[in-house]
Amino acid sequence: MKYLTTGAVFLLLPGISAAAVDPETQNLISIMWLTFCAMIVFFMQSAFALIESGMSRAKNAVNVMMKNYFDVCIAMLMFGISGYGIMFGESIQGWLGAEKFFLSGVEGGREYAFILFNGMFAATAATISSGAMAERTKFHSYAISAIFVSGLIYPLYAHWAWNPSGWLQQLGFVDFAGSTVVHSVGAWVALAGIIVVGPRLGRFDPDTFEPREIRGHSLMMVTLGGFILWFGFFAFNAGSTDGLTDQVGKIALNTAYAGAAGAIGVTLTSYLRRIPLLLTSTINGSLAGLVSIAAGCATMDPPFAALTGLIAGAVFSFGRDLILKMRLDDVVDAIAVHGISGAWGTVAAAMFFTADPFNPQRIMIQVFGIVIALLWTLAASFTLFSIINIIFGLRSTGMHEQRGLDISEHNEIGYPEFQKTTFRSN
Amino acid sequence: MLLDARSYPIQQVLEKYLEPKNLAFAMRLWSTNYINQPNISLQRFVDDFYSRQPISTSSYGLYSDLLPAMMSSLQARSRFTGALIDGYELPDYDLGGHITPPSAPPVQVPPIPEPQPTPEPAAAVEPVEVEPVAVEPEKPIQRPRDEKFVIFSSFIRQLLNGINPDRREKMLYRNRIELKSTCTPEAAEPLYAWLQTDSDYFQHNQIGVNEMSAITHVIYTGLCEYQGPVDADRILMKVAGNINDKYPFASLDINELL
Repeated sequence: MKYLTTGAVFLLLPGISAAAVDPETQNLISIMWLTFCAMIVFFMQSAFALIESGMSRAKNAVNVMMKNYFDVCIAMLMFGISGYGIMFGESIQGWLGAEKFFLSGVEGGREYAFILFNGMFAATAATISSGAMAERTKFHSYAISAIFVSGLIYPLYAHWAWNPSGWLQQLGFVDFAGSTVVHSVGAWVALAGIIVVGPRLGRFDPDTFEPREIRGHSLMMVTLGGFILWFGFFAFNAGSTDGLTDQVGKIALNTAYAGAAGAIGVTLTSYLRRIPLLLTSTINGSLAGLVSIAAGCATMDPPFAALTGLIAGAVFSFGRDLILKMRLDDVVDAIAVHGISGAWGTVAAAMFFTADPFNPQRIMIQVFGIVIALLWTLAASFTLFSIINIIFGLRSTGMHEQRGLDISEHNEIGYPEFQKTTFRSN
Repeated sequence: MLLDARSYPIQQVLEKYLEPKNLAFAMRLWSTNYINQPNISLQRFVDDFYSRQPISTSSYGLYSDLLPAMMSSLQARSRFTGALIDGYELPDYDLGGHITPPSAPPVQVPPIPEPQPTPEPAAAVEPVEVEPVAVEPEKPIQRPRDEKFVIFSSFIRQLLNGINPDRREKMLYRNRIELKSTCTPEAAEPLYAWLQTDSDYFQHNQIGVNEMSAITHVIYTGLCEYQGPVDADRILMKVAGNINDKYPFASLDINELL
């Protein structure tokens, strides 16, 4: 009966004010909202898999899918084991959570939904690096890295920024749905990963150092992934309200505007820079807009959300070139989309903060938080990948890269009927 | 008559070496693929009919007999068509290509017998003048071409041809340490020297399938770096396809090298 009531309330929400609902029902609605959003955020993993796989060559399609599938499994479990405790456990001087490991001391149903939702965020942070490091990273080494990213690196920074006692939170750092906390952290992990693992064979000409284009095998997959990610971002941002509130509509609208403006931003930038407008760039531009609005989606008005997204599209376009100029091989442009655009979004959250726009002090705090994220994540993950590289080897052998990681690591190929290959599956 | 003269000398030579069935196949190859070509590679022709037929005899000796026969054929063709002879390619084999003689099998040295005491001194024998016998200098042993190496060399050469000569030289130099570390020091230098030539054939008795695979891997990696991974994959697939088509019944499966 209670659930029926909850369902009815959920459907009739527009006509019901929060005051009209008793606290128990409100609690149930919040649980339902959080769980529902967590499920949609989980669905975003399929979009990551589609985008990353589509942007890789056919001979690595299975490997990329496998990594995406597996890092969700690892991240969910690791977040329950250590991540949640580090992130939301009782804080030691604002630096580290020190309880609720292995979900001990969890109170009630709502906290379970909260853990689920935040576990999905951890999985998102962990999965970003898989795309950047695709086509040349050993599967088991990547899986080991995902353990530490979701169980330590992400939760620790999230504790500083999101735990009510976290020292960055105390300074006034604002990142509503994780432009920096989730996306930039994931991107900086990816940055460390691609520095350690190195570029794919032949990505840069050895004489001129010019990058060579290595096209992905399916733009249809990339496009579908782009749509699903956009869909997922509604839940990603709106679910961060931690319950069903009247902010949800504005957050969803801001999300939609930023995504749309991001695509337009990259289009205009490409036009002005006289560079070809690619489908992948358009989709990535729109994702850059969606990432950038996560920080300020609840605290800025829709026109500013569109402006944030528009600029994020341009930031992505230049950021991508910057990464290439540094001779870094990011297969899916994850660093430009999630890292650089995420950083811009975090600054924009302060610049366009509705109650107090363009406050220099707030902007400085945001920049400080971004720098701390970069330093902590880059240092920690660089150390992590270097250790993994020494012990297990991070990069697959040239022969495996030549054969494709599908056949060499998993002994199966994505397109057995169409893939033209002379290689044996031995 | 002139038409026959384009094939007859070749047939006459091959009759000595091949069984009727194999001879028919070789002649069919000659008349379909080679007879009208401006440049004829004797070596390729021999490789062609050797690799496609299970022939037990060695190809060694064929070249020296086939060379004059081919010249006669070309002259006959020239008389028939009126076109000048454009030329023919001599096989590397005759040009002293990099063929390492096979290592000699271990010889069991019989134990030296103990000196037996002679009971009586031998009677003095008058010295007999022995006429000096002219000893012919021993001919260097030339081993027949090993099918594995024919395939391997052809594969590597075609891969290397996928990149322009200047960059190929750079690529080989840049990967010289990796290339030399693929096989024993005795084989490394001849291998590296061969890679820098245009020769189609290389053989060394210390290079097995594992070494061939490692060499292929280094060459592919270099190709990726200098030609780009997309082109490198395209070249690899095409060359592997060519080899599979050319040597369908070969004892070395090209997939073993990939």
